Amino acid sequence: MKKKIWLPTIIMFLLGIVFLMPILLLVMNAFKTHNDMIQNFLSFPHYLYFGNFTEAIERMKLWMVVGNSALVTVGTMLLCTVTSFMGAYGISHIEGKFGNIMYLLFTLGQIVPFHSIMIALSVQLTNMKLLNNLLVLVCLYAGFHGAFGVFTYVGFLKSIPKELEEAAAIDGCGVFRCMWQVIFPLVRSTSVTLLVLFFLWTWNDFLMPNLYISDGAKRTLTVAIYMFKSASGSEWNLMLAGLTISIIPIVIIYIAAQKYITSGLTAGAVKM
Amino acid sequence: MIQKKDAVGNREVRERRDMSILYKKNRKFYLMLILPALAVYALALLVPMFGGTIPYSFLKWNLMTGKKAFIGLDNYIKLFSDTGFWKSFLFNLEVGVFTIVGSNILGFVLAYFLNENIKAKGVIRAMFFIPNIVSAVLVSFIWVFIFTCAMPAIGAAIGWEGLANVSWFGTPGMATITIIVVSVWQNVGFLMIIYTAGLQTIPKDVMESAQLDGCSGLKKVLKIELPLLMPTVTINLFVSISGAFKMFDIPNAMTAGGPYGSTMPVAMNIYQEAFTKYNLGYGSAKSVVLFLTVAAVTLIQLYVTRKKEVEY
Amino acid sequence: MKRKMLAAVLAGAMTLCAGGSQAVYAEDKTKVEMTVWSGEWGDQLDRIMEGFNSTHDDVELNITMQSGDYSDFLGNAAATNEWPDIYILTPWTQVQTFAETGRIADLSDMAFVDKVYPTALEAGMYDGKVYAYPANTEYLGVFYNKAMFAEAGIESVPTTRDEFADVCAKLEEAGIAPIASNFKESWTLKHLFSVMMSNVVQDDMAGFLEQLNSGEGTFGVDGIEDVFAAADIIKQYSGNNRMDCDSTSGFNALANSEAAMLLTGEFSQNVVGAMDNPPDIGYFALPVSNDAARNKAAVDAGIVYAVSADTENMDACREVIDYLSDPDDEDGYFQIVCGKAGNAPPAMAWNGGVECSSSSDYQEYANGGNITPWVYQQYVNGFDVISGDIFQGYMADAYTSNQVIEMLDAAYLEYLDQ
Repeated sequence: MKKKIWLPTIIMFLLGIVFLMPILLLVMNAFKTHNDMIQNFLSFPHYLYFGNFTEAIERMKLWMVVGNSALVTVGTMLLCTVTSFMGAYGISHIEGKFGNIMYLLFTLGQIVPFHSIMIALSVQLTNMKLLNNLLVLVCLYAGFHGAFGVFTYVGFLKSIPKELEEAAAIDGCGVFRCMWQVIFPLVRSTSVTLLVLFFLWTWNDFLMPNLYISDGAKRTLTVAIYMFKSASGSEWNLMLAGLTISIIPIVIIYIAAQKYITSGLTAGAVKM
Repeated sequence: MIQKKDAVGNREVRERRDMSILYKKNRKFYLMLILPALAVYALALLVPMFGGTIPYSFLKWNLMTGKKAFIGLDNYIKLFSDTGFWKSFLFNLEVGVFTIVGSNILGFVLAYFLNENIKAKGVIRAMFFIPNIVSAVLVSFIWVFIFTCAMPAIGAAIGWEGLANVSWFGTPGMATITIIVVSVWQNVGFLMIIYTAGLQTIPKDVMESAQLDGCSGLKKVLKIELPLLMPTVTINLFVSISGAFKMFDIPNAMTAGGPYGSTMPVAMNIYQEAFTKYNLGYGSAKSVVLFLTVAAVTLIQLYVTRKKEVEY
Repeated sequence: MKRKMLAAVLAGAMTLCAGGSQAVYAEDKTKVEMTVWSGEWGDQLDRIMEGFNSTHDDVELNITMQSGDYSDFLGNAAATNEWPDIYILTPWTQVQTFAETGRIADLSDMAFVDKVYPTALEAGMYDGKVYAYPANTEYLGVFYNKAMFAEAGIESVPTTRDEFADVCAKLEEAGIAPIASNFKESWTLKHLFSVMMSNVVQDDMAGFLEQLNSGEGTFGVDGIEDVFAAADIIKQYSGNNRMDCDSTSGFNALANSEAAMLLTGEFSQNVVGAMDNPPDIGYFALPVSNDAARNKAAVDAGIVYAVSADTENMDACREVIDYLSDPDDEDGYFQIVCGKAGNAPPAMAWNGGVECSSSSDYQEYANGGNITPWVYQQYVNGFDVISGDIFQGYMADAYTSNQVIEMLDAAYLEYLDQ
């Protein structure tokens, strides 16, 4: 019986290592000197060199840019999850054509490539004097990711038996309380999954902060890392160090949230 | 217990019953709920799209020369005979099909095996997911290195001449393969989590009784799990189709359209129109056409896969 | 009713957002915003700001680097018509377009006009007036490893195309890879094709461009066969998978002494200079022609600074430009940006700089007046990019020389329609 568990585990683990190779290569080279990186990109570092990290941290003004990124990311996660859940809840309860139209509207939002509205958005933000503002960035992300959030929530809300709400209403539970206290906990795994996704998409995004935030004091982490990327690549070592730093919180958050993502709580409570 | 019912008919009956007084009474409340999402969505997307990109598409507007004139549908008419654009479209379809099929199959297989009884699920899942969380642009530079330097070294080490001498970026065909490989690699983790979440929603008792009925192995996957997973498949297909038509970062970082402009997806063609030639008007018209096409494709997909969803 | 509600929510969201946007201004200094493209700046931008701000009490310079595509920035700024006070432009065509559209200010009466080399100054001119300050010049050509040349018994650098082919053959015989490829990316090929094209049309570059811009021109000019003959030699000696190597791998190959030559610009020396024991790298002009006198160094203005015509602080902007163009300031701009190997030299006489072989080799060409500008910065807007893509087809053996010429001609016409 034990063998049956371990063999697939080892196979999947090895496959995972192969999968991770490019990232491992990246992290490995972050610990090499520039010279060593150029000469032996493929080999393991001879010793762990931390110079890239200290220099990158100082040059990027790490704490400041991480603070900005954290503000934008956390803001987006909260705002976007709340607005998408409420939106999806509303949409799934409105009967007739209007609900369908709203659903379609949000669904189609996901297929718009950012580049195709980039200029139009710039013009709009400039006219409204909303450039250089991290909170505006939060609203924009909530708008972009919200399309996916609404789409996903509606899908899951549909699978929840309506009897549940009717029963709650009979018990004297108001609609607002019913939404947050009865239904919201049921879609917890969806919410956690979405939170993690919103985190990733926001944390890693480069184009919007690069275009719409020009103030150096409001720079985000990804933009700061890009400062080391240039045509001749003479600061690759610093870029790799910056990237390594930026990966750490994502991995931690993902692993921490994983339990919830796969807990299957929804299934147990809903499907009877 | 599991019946592949006439899903559409069944749902209609159910919805009609649900059209209860409760819903009608609170209609205003439900409408209000949509507003915040709609407000940010409008700020980020609807207003720029309907107030910017679509009106721009009727202009001849070059950003550098600053010349701007209303030309009606001329941009759209010009688009019909724009061979560069349609070439990009075909290329995009080709890469898209391989990426969508490849990443969904791989994503499902991984989710399936990682849902079985194995150790350290969490760590292993994270290993497959991490590629999705690192900036695709920057990791693509590492991939270029892997294709051009690591692959030949590996080929030489295992004495495989073919692998050692492949020119990965010298021909359109090989360059396309590199884009597909990296796109699949990047997308799999994401699709895997959604499939995992979907697998978890299949009630344990359904699986147990299937087991009791003597249904196992591949048959169990194809006959029971996959049909029950249709809502997840719907989401994943939608996400990967729209992602495929939007692809920009990976092709741009892997080949930048090369060799000789042969691996240019539509988004890159549009980008070049708007930011190399600075023809914003014409670029906007291209965006609108792309948008309409993808909307049509994804809506058909949603309709088809939703129809296949079963209730249990 | 619904619409009112929507408007209210929107307005609420906006006010919430706008709350955080009040910028904090330091005292009453005049603020000058300057935008530059991403490059090998390192910590230079901070030092420039510090250098300027510490010597100017009433003006505060703030520099922003666009780490993404600079064309994104230009496009967005053009669409919104919101420009920083000072920004970088590409010399020649772009400056002319910006001057023509009235976006940038006339700087003809400034001090730098008398200091900048006349050939470079032209890159910032339109209609007889100076609209931009060319800060430095860049040079393209062949960067070679001196030790490897010596090892192969090569005593002098080639001055004609045939000699170039001989040098390549000798290197190969000696077991040395002659040329490090960097043809995967089309921007390096844009440079290469431009260098070769400049060589061919150097006698009447203005006439060649005028013809093209009138829609009647062609790339199939007399002597174009030199371009393809030189490209053939380069192809032959660039190794097996030449289309796989990007600029980074080219720089690394030169820095690691993996190949004897690289067709590139002075910026390649950034990577070489960052090595622990950098090889000694020299420079010579790419011998496109068999007439040695025609093989000049391809040199052109690199960065030009322009001042927005809309700026509210014209005087302060001029102070910044003066700071950027003062060769005598010991903590000045040139000291900061021209002190390292790989830095582009100033476009004016300056007594500082770095001692390295490639730089002194280049200086010899410059002193002898053996230089020619790059043609690509003078094509119609945007065409430079596509010229690299098309030429890549020749390097990959996908197009014949005639096809390349036809495609270039057709594309040029297409780009003229703006």
